[in-house]
Amino acid sequence: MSLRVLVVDDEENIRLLYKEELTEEGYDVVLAESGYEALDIVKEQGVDLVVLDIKMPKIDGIETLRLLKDESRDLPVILCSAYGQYKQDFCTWASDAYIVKTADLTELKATIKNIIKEKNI
Amino acid sequence: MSEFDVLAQVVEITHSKEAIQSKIDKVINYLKDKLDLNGIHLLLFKEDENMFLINYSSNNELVNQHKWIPPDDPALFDAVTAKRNVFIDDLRPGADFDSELIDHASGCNAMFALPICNSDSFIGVMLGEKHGELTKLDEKLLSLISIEITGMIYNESNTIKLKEKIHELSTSFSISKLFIKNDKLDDLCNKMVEHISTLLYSNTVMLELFAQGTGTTVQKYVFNKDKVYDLDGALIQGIIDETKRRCRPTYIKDASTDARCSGSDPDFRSALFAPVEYNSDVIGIIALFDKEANLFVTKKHFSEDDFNILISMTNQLANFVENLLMTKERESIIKEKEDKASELKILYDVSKAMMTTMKLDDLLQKILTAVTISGGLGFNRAGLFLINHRMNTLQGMLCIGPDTGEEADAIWTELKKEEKTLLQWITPDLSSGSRKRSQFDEKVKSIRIPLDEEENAMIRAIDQKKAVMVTNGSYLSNKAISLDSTSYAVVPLISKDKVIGVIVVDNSITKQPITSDDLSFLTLFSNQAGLAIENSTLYSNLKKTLSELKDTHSKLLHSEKLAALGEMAAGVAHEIKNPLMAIGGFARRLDKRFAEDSPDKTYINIIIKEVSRLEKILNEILNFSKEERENNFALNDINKIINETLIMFDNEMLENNITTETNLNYDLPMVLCNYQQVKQAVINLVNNSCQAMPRSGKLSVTTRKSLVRNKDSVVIEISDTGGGVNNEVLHNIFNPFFTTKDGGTGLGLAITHRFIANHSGSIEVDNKPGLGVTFIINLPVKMDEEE
Ligand SMILES: Nc1ncnc2c1ncn2[C@@H]1O[C@H](COP(=O)(O)OP(=O)(O)OP(=O)(O)O)[C@@H](O)[C@H]1O
Ligand SMILES: [Mg+2]
Ligand SMILES: [Mg+2]
Repeated sequence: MSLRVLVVDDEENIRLLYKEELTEEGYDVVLAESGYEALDIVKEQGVDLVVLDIKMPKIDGIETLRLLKDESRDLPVILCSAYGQYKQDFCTWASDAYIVKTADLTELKATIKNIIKEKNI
Repeated sequence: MSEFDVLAQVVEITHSKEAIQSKIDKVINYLKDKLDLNGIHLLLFKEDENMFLINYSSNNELVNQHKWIPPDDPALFDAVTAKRNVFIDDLRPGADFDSELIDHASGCNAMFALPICNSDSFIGVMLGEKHGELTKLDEKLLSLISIEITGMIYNESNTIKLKEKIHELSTSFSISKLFIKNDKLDDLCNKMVEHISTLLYSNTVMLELFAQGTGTTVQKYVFNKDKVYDLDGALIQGIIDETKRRCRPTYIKDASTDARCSGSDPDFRSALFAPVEYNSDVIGIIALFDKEANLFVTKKHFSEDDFNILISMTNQLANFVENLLMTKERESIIKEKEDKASELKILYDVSKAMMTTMKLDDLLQKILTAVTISGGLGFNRAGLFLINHRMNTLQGMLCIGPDTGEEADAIWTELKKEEKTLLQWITPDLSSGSRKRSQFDEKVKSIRIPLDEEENAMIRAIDQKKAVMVTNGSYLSNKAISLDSTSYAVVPLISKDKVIGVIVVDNSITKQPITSDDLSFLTLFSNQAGLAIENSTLYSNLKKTLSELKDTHSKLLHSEKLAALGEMAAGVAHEIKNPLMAIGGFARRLDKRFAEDSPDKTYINIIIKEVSRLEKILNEILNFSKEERENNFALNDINKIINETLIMFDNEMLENNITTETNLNYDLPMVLCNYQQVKQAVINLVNNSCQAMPRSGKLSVTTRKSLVRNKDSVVIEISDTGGGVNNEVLHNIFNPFFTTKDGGTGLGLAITHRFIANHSGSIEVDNKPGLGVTFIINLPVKMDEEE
């Protein structure tokens, strides 16, 4: 059974990109366009890993991260942002990885693999 | 009815609350009835006439006739001479004696005469007659009744005396009050004559005042109750002159018999004249004419008592006049000193105006205006020079005064017309340039005199720290205002023991000599002016420092804004990055689908490459500001950073009514940090606190040493009373662009957070919603090697 990866991003194109690339990697990709939707999916369906965008309307990625970790402390979350600064800042505190968004998804894919290995999922 | 009943009835009448006249009437008529008397009379003794008057009688006609009975009337017998009760049963009027008091026709055979008196005074006699016999019991009864009546009349007279005393006291009290309250002689005298008239029941009171020395009448005050006397007549004037000459009171008890009035047919019956003495000089006379009648006094004679009261009254008046004259004297002394006083006033006015003038130009203008204006020191011209220590010269600043006599006339008549006070002259802003600058002003402004120049009056005044007067054109090298005058004065401007300049004055137009009084006043004035100038210099220095501070403040704010701009660019870059990622991402996906040699693959690769180039550029932009600020680490004093920051907000906090409490530990170690970043971090926090307390509040800043994770650290706590953060958004406040303020960029805390993070420090929030918030910054003294 393939691992279930939840991708949370407010931009449809980005979601689509993630979906195609990660499906190709063999994951079962679920999409959410907002933090709340992501939270619902995690609660209702359960996922193995979350790829989470930071800059989103309504609730941002960091707030979503807090809610997700509240819901399930061990759920791995990879924060993604076009905004490099967050990396040195406070955003890394609870997430398992922080990735600067770029068209080349190699780093993301590698990180997911790493986490799965580390966490023994 | 028994005798006892009669007595009881009489006692009842005499003790009733009725007026004495009606009580006496009642007793008399009652006795007439009960004892079956033919007639009964009460004669009262009138001291001033030495006669008896029938005041009460069963026969009203006798009363109406106003009959006077001499004390030796035979009908009175021993009642008067021996003060003994007389009863006679075998009366044979006409045979034994003849008296109007006894009705001969009635054929009475008994009579009685009972004295109404006590041991020391005689009031009158009760007299009665009867047909038939007076029994022993009647006699006894009448004796008792006469005692009762005596008592009643005495009571009455005592009451009257008491009332008089009270009246006297209250009137003299009100007269004393007059003396205290009035400082105008006229008022006082007018009231005084009226009061004396009330006090002594006098028909007319006159007060005549004489000029001191010459003795001629200056003023006459007269109060008349009803009768008007010939006060200017020879008789009265004669007595007044006599009183004045002898300087002793004159008491005319009865004008009709007084020798001083004989042959002049006086229109008054009794009079008192008392001199008002001042410095053994008679400065006035008080004269009283005719007393009003009362129960015991019929003729209008003044008594000894009246006389004594009047004397004491005149003494009071004399005292008052003395006071008044002394006040006058004092006033004239004051007048003499008025020049001094007005000098003081000028000094006061000018220093007031000076101390409220902070702009040096305005101040100098005011100083010289005060020196030259006629309401001020009144010199024709005045120039002011200040020492320039940098150039080592005395520098002309300003000169006021007309160039020529004609101009002076024009100006001075103009000034007169405007009728402004000194203060009005020097208070308005004179820097407006509405006045024509004189040639001398131009000249003076160009003057620079080396401080070591010899033979110069101004330099000498500076060196000697005192005024220098030039009267004969010595000190020829003087280049100031006295080019055409040989007589002028220089006073140094001294502030805190240091000479800061000089004022030069002359009277080139009026040619009035400058007196030593003028000079000492000018010196006094120049001391004030020196202080004011010093003040204004201090003030302008303060203003300069303040504006420099403001400058730095705005520069700092500006750098914050620059940073904010950087963040904005970052925001924009972020927005571009997302679509770019999609473009690049899908391009890569397409790429995989094309065969290696497909020409379309080349195009796709171009897209992929360009996208990565763009991404790189954007990443550079996004990291630019950060990299720039990460350098410049050095050892810095955190307390200094705090103090500098607080100074920047001084004005704002003053306007917002924010008090600050700093609790800085001055043993703090120096911290290796980027000065600008730490400062900016603190600025952002203080700025937020100020914005959270727009009306009032308290900002507390604390620094202390601490050990965090085994590392020496410095803690900065910034606390406010601005109500704190709503708990629902608390987790957002460090997010870039999160703001609850109109016009806030939401970058302040994000920047602060990043800067502190750059130092491997931490920032915590202690939020008390509704009260305030405390931000706690933790900075390691030294950063870890690997960081
Ligand atoms: N001392 C404080 N008291 C109350 N609220 C505060 C305080 N400091 C920050 N906040 C809240 O946190 C928010 C974010 O602050 P931050 O300094 O990041 O941005 P800002 O002040 O709104 O804008 P700016 O970029 O001009 O500083 C503020 O809008 C305010 O709601
Ligand atoms: Mg987003
Ligand atoms: Mg702010």
